[in-house]
Amino acid sequence: MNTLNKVILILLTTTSLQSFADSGASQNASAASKHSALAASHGSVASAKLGSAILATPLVIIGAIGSVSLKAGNELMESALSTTPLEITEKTITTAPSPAQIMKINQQEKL
Amino acid sequence: MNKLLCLLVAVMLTVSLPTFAGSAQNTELQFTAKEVDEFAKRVELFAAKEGARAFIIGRVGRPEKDLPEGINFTHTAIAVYSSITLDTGETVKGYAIHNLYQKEGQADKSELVIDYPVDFFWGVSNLKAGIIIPTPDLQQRIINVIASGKDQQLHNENYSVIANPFNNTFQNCTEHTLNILNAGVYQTTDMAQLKNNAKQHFKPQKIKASPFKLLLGNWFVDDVSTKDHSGKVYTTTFTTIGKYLQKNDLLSKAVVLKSEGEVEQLL
Repeated sequence: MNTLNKVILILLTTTSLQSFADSGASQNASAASKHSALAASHGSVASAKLGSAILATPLVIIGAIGSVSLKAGNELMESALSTTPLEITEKTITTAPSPAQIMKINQQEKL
Repeated sequence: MNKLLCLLVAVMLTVSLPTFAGSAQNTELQFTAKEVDEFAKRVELFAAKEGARAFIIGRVGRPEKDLPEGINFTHTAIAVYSSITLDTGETVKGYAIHNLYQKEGQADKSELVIDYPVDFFWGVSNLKAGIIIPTPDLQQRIINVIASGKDQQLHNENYSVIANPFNNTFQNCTEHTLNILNAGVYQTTDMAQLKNNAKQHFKPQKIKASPFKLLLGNWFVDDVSTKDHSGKVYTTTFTTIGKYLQKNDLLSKAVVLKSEGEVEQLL
């Protein structure tokens, strides 16, 4: 029975089950290469066109919806009514790489 | 024993297990960085043009031919119009996306992660975005839930890709999104109440997969569990959330934005 179990496990893990299980692979590698790929796509103006976010604060509208409580302290309040279209930065914003990703990038660059 | 083994091998080789919607944070790039970058910005500008302060965003992370019937998007999250502080100290405006992602190397656990449109669409199989814009008052309630950190209270880290939306045994990205919407609607983070309300008013998607395939997934795949289901398997999807909002007059717009800017109605 042990042999049978092993055969089934091997088959499952090497064939059809892969479609379930491959969703989280290579996360650090792809995150590290993302910054490099975006920088390359923007060429010499990359530093002006790319931004690493360290904080995102939801913007709350004042005045548009009078009944909404604005007691929560973690949002910024915009004094104007909702404007359309909303202002969107021209920059490409990405999450700031984690320390592990930075170290990985540095190691790759050394090579 | 040999006959049994041969039979099982034959079954395994002919059975193709269904592909479900995983929520991986980073996947490999399928398009050029420029293409993804331009598409992500197009999605942002579309939502901004509509004046959306908060909207539900969906992506297609796997080839559509591999998705089970009734599932059109593989990952769902909430985009919130935000003031974004960069590492340079500069502050800009754009959308921050509030996700439930599976943990790296631990597919049956999840974490809440904020990323940005280009991160969100990085590994997609199709440059296609699902955009569900709730009514302005619901948008504001969603923002209040997230800005006050109550979305953390609504998170259950035990992950199943086919989580049952009517209990809190497991949770996936779409169920978490539904929890946030309903926390805004009902002004509560009481999970028992939220699940009771969902049972009464939310219609989930039936997963059309054979019991045998689901059983195999249950046994051998970390992020697939049927333990929270009794009988047929139902789960939350991007589209069923859109229908739920539409049915309750909480929907402003539900569309699919494609790579060249084409806009199709979702519902």
